[in-house]
Order: sequence, then C-alpha cells, then structure tokens
Amino acid sequence: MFNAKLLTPILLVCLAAVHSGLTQPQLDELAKENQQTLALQKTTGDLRAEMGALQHFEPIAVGQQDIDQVMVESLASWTKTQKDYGVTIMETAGATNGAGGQTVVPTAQMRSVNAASGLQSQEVVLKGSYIALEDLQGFFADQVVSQGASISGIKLKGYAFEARVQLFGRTPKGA
Amino acid sequence: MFGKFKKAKQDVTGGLVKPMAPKSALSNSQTSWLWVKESDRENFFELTGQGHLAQASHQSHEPWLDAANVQVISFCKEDDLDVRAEARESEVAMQKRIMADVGVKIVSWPQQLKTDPGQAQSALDRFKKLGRHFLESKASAQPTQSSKSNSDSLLSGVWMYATAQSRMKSIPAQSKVWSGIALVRYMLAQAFKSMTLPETPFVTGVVFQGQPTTVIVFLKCEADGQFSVQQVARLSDMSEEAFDAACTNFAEHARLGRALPKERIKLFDGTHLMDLIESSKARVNSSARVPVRAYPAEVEIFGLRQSTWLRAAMYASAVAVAVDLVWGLSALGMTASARSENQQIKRDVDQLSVSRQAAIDARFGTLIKDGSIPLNRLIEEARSMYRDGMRLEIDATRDMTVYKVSRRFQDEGSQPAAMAELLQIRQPENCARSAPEVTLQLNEVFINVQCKTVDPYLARLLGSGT
Repeated sequence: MFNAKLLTPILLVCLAAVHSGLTQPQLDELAKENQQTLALQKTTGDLRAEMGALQHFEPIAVGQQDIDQVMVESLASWTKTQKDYGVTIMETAGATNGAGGQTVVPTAQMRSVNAASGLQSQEVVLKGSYIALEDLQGFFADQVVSQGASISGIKLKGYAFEARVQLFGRTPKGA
Repeated sequence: MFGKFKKAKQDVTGGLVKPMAPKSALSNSQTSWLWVKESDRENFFELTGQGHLAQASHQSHEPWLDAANVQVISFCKEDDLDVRAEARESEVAMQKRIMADVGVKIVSWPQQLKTDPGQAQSALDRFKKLGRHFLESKASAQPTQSSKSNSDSLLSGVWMYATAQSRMKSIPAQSKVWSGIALVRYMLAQAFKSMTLPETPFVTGVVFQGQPTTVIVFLKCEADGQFSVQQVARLSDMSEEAFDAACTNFAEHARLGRALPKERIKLFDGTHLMDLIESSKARVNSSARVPVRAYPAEVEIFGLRQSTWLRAAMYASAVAVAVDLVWGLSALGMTASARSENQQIKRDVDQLSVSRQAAIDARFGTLIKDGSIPLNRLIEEARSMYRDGMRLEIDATRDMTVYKVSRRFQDEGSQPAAMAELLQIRQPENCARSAPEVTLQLNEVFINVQCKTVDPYLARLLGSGT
C-alpha cells in the first residue's frame, strides 16, 4: 500500500526537521523559562521575607539634608564637643583644613551610593583617645548615633580608638 | 511409486492415487503451475489441486503476469540451487558458498532433515499416507541396518535451497515459488525412513499426470544425495511402452545404462507434492511443521522479510514524527504558559520591590541606628571577660567583633598559670573562643573571642546596600 522504501527516508527527514525546527528550540526555551521562574520565585520569596523583617523596625525616616551638609555639620560638631566628653580626635582620615578653621573631608573620598536607600553614604575615620570608657560611650551615643550617623567599625586598644563612622544624606544639588 | 510399470500403470491409470480434493484443493483460488526448463526454454504447465496437469499443453508466458497470487513448483536445474551443509557450516557460510558458485545475489532457506525423533515421527506418519503407493511398491521390504544408515547419510543433514534474487524480483510477493528438488528430497527422506534404500545412483522424480499429456520430471540421485541430472519428459499417452521408453531414455541420458533395474526408479505422484505443499502451509505448531517452504520472496533479515523491516521502520518513523510533533507543540504551549507566568511573577516582584523600597525609606533612620555597632554592648562584653592583669583589645565591624584578651608572664614557670587564667574566661553567649596562643616573644598568651556584631541583614543593607 505504501512505498516504505521511499516513505521511510522522507519521514526521517521530517522527523529531523520537526525536531530541530520545533521541538528542540521549544524545549530549550521551556528550560530557560523554567529556570527564570525558579529565580523569580526565589526573588519573590526573598522580598517577602525582607518585607516581613522590615516590619519589626520602627518607622523613622532620615533627614532631608544633603551629604555635604551632613558631613560638614558632623565634623564641626565633633570638633566642638570632643572636649566635653574627654575625647580627643587627633586625626580625621583625609581631612583638610577648610576656610574658617573648619575641618572638612574631601567629598570624593569614601563616598558611595547606598543601593538600599538610594542615599549618599560617606565614611569618616576618626582616630583619637579617651580618658574613660564612659566618656567615649557618651560621645558616640550623643554625637554620632543620635545625630543620624552609624558606626561601621571600631578598634579599641588601650586608651586609643579608631572608628569608622558612616554618614547618610541626599545627593547634593547639582552633583 | 512407479518402480514397476504395471504398478505404475495401475497407480496412474487405475485410479489408485485417490484424488484428495477437499484437502488439496486450493480454496483460496491460488492456481498452481509447474515451471520447467526444456531445451533452455522455460515452460509453465498449469496444475490442478491434485497435482495433475490441467491442460494438455504448456505456456511460455509467466503465469504471475496474469494473476499475482499463484503457486509455482520450479524444476529448473540452473536456477534452483541446493547445497548440503558441511560439518559445522553456518547458514551464512552456505549462502556465501552458493553466491561464490553462481556469482549472483540469492534468496535462500535452510532445510533440516531428520532433526529430532518427535518431528521425524510426525512427519513420517503424514508421509505414510502421502507416499502410500511408493511404500506399497516395496511393502514387503524391511529396512535393514545398513540401508537405514545409508539413508541417513544420503538424505539427512542440513540442505540449503536458493535461487537468484533477480529471478524473484520479477515475481509478485503474493506468488510462491517452491523448489521442486527440495520437495522431492524431503519426500525421499521421509519415505526411506521405513524401507530399503535402492542402490545409488538411482532415478527419482515426479509424475504429473494429465489427459492426454503426462509430464515426468526425472532426477538422478547420487550417493551423496545430490540430484546431478534433471530431465523433463512428456508422454502423450501413459502406455507401458511409453513409460518404459521414458525411463530408459533418462537412464541412458544419466549414464545409468539402458538396463536399469526397476527397483532403482523411485518416482512420486504430483499429488504428493501438492499435499506436501498444503501440509507445509498448515498453521500447526513449529515442531510438527513440515520443514519445507517456498523461496523467500525477498531477502530476509533475522528471519523477517526486508519489506517487513522497511515497513516497521516506516511505521516507527511515522510514530516518531507524530510523537515529536506532539512533544514540540506541547513544549510550545508550556513555554507560552511559563512565559506568561513569569511575566506575572515579574510584575509581583516589581510591586514588591517598590513596597520594599518604600518600607526601607520609611525606616531608614531606625536601620541606621540599629545597624550601628553597639559600642555599649561591646564594652559590657569586654568587661565581663576582663580580669586584673590582663589586656583587652576590641576590633569590630558590623559583621564581626573580635576581643583579644592577653596576659603577660615573666618567665616560663608562670606561663601555665597565665594560660589557666585565660581559660577560665567565660565568653559571652553566641561567641566563640579560640585556643590560647603565645606570642613570638614568648612573653604573652592570648585568646581571641569572636562574636556577631549586628544583624547580618542590617550589615548588608548599610554596607553594600543590596
């Protein structure tokens, strides 16, 4: 009824064509989509978990000052108040003496954008000494953390300290 | 058997060979033909279901050209090939041997004579009836041991029958071509199981009776079972003289001498051939089946026709195409579904990202504060580990705080006491203490206590921000 000798190679060619033209590309595409589904599902899970974790923090937003202003004000404040706490800041990394006797740090140094908040983040290294631990604690509590800065690193050895303080602020206008 | 003419005449003309119409008549309207070569001309004689000539004359026109479903018994010496297997010779080796002899591609089939006793017995029972008058002619003769062993060596073993592929190509697959010599050899083997084998070489063959013409195919059977000479004789009447003359002529032609004893002439009636063919076609179990068959219509691979393999390959290919197509289409559908699902998840992710951003913005003040290294806690923990005479250093990042607690000692003797004092230190909860170490100057022992500083999430968020 059928010419098997003729039809078999034709069918095999059809098989090769269908497989290479339709089945295999679609299977590859499906595998890719499935992989993406897994990745997206993981991202969704992570985001939901993060949202859940964030609910445990009290809602307090940061101020609207730009980073230059935050930095200058912080440095000025620390310079002024250090003696009140029995703390001596002997060196601020990268600091230079600016106009009016204010110590400033060049903004290009140790500055980056915090991806989570979109805020500018500036790290300042403070090196100095203290008389009593309570003084040091008071200084960092009142003059650093309460002012909206964050201690990202600290070393205490004898009566010397070296702290890395992270400041956050908006991107300066025109920058 | 026509060993004696009188008997033969009785058999042929006296009606001793009973027509067995119900058994051998071809119910499926398959006509039978005798195919012989006479003086290099191929002639075809139509046969009745009883193995008699249906018409007085032959035709040279191939019968399968008129009807595809015919049955042909071929007695063509040059085209019907046969070889006997040598010791431990395989079928493939036999095929190669035949092809080397004739120089053309062949189709073939093997015939095992006298295989197992059960099969031989059942076949013999059948042939007691089929070869009745053959046996009757020698009814008084009892088989002797020597004749039996002679018969065993003469007509036993494996034989291979073959014909050229090119010959079969022109014949429709529905038509069957039977090797006449295969049928005769099988009938001889069965018949000589119970009676004395004549002196070799002897004359055998088949008589196809008819009115008015009778055709006799003579064969000379050698001592090794080979049929060396073949001749077709036509008798216009079945008289004693004509039959004797035909036998004498063949004996002379076969160099057996004019005075060949009648005992050395063993002929079969065409009816037996037809019955044998019908028996071989009967669908009985394999052990009882007669080991004769028609030539394969085409080359066979592992016992199956080439066309069967091709057809199987075609169907398998068609199924594979269909399955592949269905698979591809379902993959297409599943891909579309997965893509749509991904788009939905992406939208959810985007929405969640916006919500996360809003939540972070709203709480960033708290996050900065909570993410700051807790100096008070660090100092408290340090105090809990501090002892008089020790030194304590703190090195903290958001991820990890390391307290280095050290104790100096004056001489080697005071080292164990200093170390014991260090080991008494209880580290804060969730902190790990290292083993005591000694400085290179050998004047101080110290341990490191490692603690987690702030929540890793906050550390990551305020650090890289991801």
